[in-house]
Amino acid sequence: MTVSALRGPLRAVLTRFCLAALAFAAALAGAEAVSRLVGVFWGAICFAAIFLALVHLAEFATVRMTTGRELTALLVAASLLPLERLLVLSVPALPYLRLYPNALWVLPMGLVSVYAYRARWFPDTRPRLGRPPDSGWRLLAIQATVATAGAGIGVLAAHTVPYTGYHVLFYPDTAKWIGVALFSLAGVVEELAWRGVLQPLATDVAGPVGILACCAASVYVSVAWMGTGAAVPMIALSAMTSVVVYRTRCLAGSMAAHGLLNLLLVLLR
Amino acid sequence: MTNLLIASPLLLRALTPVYFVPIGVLLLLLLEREMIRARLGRYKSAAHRVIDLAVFPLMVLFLLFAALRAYTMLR
Repeated sequence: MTVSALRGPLRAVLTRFCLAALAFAAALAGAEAVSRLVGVFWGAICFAAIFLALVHLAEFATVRMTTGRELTALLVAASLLPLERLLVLSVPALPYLRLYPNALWVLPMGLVSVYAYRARWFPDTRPRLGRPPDSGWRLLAIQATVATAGAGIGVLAAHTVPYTGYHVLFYPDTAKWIGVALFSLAGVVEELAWRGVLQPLATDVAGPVGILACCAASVYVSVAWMGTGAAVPMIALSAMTSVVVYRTRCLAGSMAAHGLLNLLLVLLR
Repeated sequence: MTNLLIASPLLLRALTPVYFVPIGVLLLLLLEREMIRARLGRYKSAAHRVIDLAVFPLMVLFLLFAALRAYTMLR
């Protein structure tokens, strides 16, 4: 949604966006606190309530608001945040997947991200998965650099993030590779959801503030799943990919970077 | 432990209440979808599309859960 589509002065639009984002962040923080302090079940109920509230707000926006499709799309994209936390908390845990037994959440989240990315009723502001046919070598070089930087952050993270469990190669069976593949796929899925779907909508509403909000959101979901030790590498990666996707409107490099980060983190630590 | 996991890697023996939270949300959204369809008929409104997008991942999660549980019970 362009700022003019909101029919208000820029400052008022930004203020409204910031207030809404703060209220949303406070709700998510409250649900996270409930999940940690009271229990996973009550935390999942809180995230489910936030998810339902956003879905109903989006429905309401389709009927009542003059801004229509754009606001609906932004609310739907924002609802992916509590949805991911709900999936992480309530997906069946399989010890078979080794280091992250709840990694099955990647499957429903990945499918809904693809669904949202390809939805025709969303405003067509999404970045491309591949590079445009008429783009030059410069874009290709930027994407390759981002992927390499993601791999570098993954190697650094593997040596700096505290971890006391067994190395993945300790397990003798081949089942561990399914867990590793899902863990790596989680990075790709998150890039598609946050950089591919949420960021363009948030950026159209609030410009750089939207990018910042989206970056914070992606760091939050990653750290909530992987643990606070992963905060520094995730902040570095999210900041880099947010800017690169905004400037180049191409997702390939950031998806490769996040996938490689997760892969090297789980293999090298 | 490792040998046990290799022998039966996908068993979902223990059910916890948290598994049923997304199923409850899914039922609620499906009910609402039917109410919208009853009101608007076959015309697929924007509200319909919003609910479809919300239902889709929860349905996938439910199918995963049901498949794992069915596999556990059949073995």
